[in-house]
Amino acid sequence: MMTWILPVYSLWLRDMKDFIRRRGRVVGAIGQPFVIWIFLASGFQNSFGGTAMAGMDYGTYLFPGVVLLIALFAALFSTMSVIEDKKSGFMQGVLTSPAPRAAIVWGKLLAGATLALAQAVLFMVLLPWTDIRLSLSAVLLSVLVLACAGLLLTSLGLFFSWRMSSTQGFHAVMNLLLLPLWVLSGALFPVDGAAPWLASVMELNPLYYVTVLFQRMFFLDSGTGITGGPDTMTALGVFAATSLLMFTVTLRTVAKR
Amino acid sequence: MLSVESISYSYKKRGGGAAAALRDVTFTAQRGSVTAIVGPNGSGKSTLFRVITGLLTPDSGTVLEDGCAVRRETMGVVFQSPSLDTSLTAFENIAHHAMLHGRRVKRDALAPSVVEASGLGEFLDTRVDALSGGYRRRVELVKALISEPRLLVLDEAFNALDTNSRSQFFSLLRSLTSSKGLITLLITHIPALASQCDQVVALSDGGIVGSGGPTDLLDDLGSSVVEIETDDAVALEQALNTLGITTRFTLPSGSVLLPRTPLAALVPVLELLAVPPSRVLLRPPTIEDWLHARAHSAAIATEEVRYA
Repeated sequence: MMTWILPVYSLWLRDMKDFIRRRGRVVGAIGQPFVIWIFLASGFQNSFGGTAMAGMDYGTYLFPGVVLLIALFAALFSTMSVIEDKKSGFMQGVLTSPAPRAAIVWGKLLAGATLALAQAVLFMVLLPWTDIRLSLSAVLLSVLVLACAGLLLTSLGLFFSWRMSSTQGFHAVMNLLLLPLWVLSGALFPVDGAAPWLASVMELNPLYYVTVLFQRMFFLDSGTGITGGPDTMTALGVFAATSLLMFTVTLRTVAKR
Repeated sequence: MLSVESISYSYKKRGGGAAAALRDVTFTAQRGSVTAIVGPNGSGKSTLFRVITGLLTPDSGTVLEDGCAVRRETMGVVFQSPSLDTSLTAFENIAHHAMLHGRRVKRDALAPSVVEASGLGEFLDTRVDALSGGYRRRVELVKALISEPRLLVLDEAFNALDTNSRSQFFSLLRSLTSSKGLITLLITHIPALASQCDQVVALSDGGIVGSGGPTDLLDDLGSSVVEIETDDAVALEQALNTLGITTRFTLPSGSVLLPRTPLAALVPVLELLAVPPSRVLLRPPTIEDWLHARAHSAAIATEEVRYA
């Protein structure tokens, strides 16, 4: 058992220490989404509205989406270290160790998810300074969804980073694929106001269901709600199925190479 | 005993085809002994290292430790390129590596002999990015030893060490190898280091060109060699050809080396030269000489030549 748990713990702990010792990453991971939130919320306050926003101002609507963006950035940056580890030679030490490949995957997944959750929660600390009021159950359920989303997003990042040999290539994937996934996830605008073709594209995006689920938990008991979109059980089902598929594919990728 | 049996490996080329990196490599390494794997750049040393450590699966052949497949649990590895996290301290790197092997280590539990010989004692709490290249190598070595391996594979592990540290660490390796019954494979391009090992396996162009104890290998070159340094290599070449001394090869420095040649045999050579050589040296052969001879396919006499 220790030959499984200790390698997972080792890789998790190493990523935590690495993150803490490179504080610039915290600033980057939270600073950029914060600026996006401030600019978009204040700049588009009058552009968005209507029933789809359920009477919320745009800043309120956008807040959970930005929290997810922070989790996305944090998870992806944490998996980018795999490319650096391969370049620096650290990974070859890991791969020649007796640590099972699944333990290596779980070590990286838990580290990425922890960092994603920690940074997203850190951003949520700003809530008392906004007009958004959340119940305790909403906070707890949001954190739970965030933790699961962190695992899924890290798994997605690990799938790409494990196959790549340059951080430039990873940035290209982030810009071409992962960021558009977030933009079309319903984090920026609700599906109800979108053109039918765009709504169809959004419904094919797995991150859309994560966003829907997170928004539902986030605004639980707040008296507001986002109309439209899939019911909660469907969103949960797609989220779980996507996560399971992603873990399996990532594990196979790591086991092969 | 480690048995490397008929290992072949080819790299796939872009655009099709394959380039053979290892061809039917076979040798054994005994427990309690240090085996050097030597050869020029591109000879297949690193590929062999990757096959033995399990980073590459060979096209054919097997690597067996005491008749069984090599187990990562009992293998210690030191890489040519650093495998340390530079944001962690030396001890943290060692402790993390131990955890990958399923064990926890405390500072006090680090084997004092290893830490002392590595000279890392006072630097255990120093971040790796603040350590010199030589000390980083030491951390790598301690890291490889922390899992108490039965098989130790070191790829150019001594490169960044100065002569004193190299000598200290080699002594440590030797004593650990014999006292703990390790099988130690040392992949190196430093001939002086190879000559101190129990066995040398020489690779060239992906195949083994010779193996055996260093003294046995040097027997090929006789008890002494003559090294001639000259500004007129062409004239020297002609003189040696005229006198039928064909068993010779050129060192990277440009000097010509004659194995199994007594000094007396050189007198007629010198008489033929208009410009005398700048230096003529009679000295014992080294592993480096042997490697050059092998790598350049020089015809080394296997029997005492006619001058004797």
